[in-house]
Amino acid sequence: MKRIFGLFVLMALFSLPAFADIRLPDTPSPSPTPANTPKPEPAAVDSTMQIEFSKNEKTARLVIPKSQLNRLRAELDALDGGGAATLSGISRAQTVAGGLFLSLAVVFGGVWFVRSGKNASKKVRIAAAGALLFFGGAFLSVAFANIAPATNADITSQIFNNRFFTRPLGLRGAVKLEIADSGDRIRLIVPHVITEDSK
Amino acid sequence: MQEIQRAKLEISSAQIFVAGFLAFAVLSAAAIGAFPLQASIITIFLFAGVHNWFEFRYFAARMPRVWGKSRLYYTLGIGGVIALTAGYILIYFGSGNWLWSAANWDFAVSAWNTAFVLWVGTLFYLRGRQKPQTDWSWAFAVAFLSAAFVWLAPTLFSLSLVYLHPFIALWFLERQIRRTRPEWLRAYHFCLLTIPFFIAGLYLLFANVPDLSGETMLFRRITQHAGSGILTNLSSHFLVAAHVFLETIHYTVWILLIPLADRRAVPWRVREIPLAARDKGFPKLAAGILAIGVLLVFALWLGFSVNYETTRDVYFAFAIAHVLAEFPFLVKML
Repeated sequence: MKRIFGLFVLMALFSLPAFADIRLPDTPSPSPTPANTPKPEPAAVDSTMQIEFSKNEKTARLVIPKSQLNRLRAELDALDGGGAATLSGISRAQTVAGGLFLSLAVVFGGVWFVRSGKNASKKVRIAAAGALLFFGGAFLSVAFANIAPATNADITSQIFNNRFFTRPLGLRGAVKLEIADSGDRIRLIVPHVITEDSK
Repeated sequence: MQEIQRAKLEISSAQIFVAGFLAFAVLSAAAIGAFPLQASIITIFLFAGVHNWFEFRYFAARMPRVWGKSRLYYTLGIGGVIALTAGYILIYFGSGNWLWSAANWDFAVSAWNTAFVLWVGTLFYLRGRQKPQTDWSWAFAVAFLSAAFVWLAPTLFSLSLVYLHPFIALWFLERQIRRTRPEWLRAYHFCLLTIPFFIAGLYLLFANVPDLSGETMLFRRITQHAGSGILTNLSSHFLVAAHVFLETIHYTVWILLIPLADRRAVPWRVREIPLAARDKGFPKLAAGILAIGVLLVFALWLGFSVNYETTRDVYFAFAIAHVLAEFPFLVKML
């Protein structure tokens, strides 16, 4: 029973990286001739943003003009050469292969753990427990080493209230992304909410 | 009648070992910390080829004439060294080819690293099968876990190999001392414990100083080799110093300490090599291969003198063979 419980704990630990909804840190991609290759800058274009309050809105809207979007797209194309889709610096192939090998590691580790049973010496058990703690800790670090998630809140005119920014993490909430055919300015339209405090 | 005995001050060989190791480590850490780029150039020029020859000589002495029950182990070990070296050289020299996109290159590197960790895992498993009442099937779990790391953080994995490789020599020396100089074991363990302090000292002194000069391609190659393009929050001065310090310890172990610990590894004792034994051995072949090795060392010195940068690149491409060859022999000693 203890072994089965241990196996479940092992699986739970290794499943953390798969289910933790926090992106992995970016991995710099090696280049065939990296000595001369400058570090890629994040895709960025200079623009201006206008924040508007609207009593008619229920959800915040971020309106991006097509002109700005095209510029951003051009930057992105230049950055990755229009190559294979990557997310957070890890390509789909990497994710699949990484997940596959992680699963195999859990399976083989579990089989060994169950098989070793009474035959395993105390030293081996301690080593296994140490390895489990180390790798579990390493994966936990990967999963949670990023800053804590921001406060969840509706994005309304109240976001400019100081209480949301007592922590340096800001807040996050739902927003609709829209593409505007005209204009050259990004607009963030937030519902204008009047509370008792603000009256 | 009372006898008066004078206590003799005896210094054991283990104490001399510790004193020598610490003196060498202090001096080399100071010199390397002060002039990391120059130290990198000089140590590779002087010792890269020589230490490869010593390693080859050591492995030749450990290779049995008849493989017997270890046939599968050695076949996989030697075969793996040849196949992985060929694959590595193909990827290394093919990287500038227009057929290779960055994505394909990344994929090829990760595939090679995966084959490498699975090969090492299999060697551990096979070695475990040779030992009575031992189950080393955990090696597969560790190998697969490492393979996951290979794919999720490929550059960090490659960099970790660069920094872990010097420690393999230290592990060899530990196994060798256990066998032939057990009286040095405690002293050696003490020496091992001091290495993190040297690295910490280099970190405290150089982690926040300005990066090293990148004015020439050679300097950029050296800093890049030490991981300056990956660990961007650390000064390249510290990274190069730490890497060269560890490499210097690695060279010292192979060229000086292992021959001191094992008489079979003393270069001129060729008769100690089983493969070179006159009866049932291949003395001429073994002597010929060792002589070719000496010629290659001189050729490497000549190449470094004529064009250091290109020779360095070529050396590090082929040097993967000696990195790989360490594993079958190390695992066999466990």
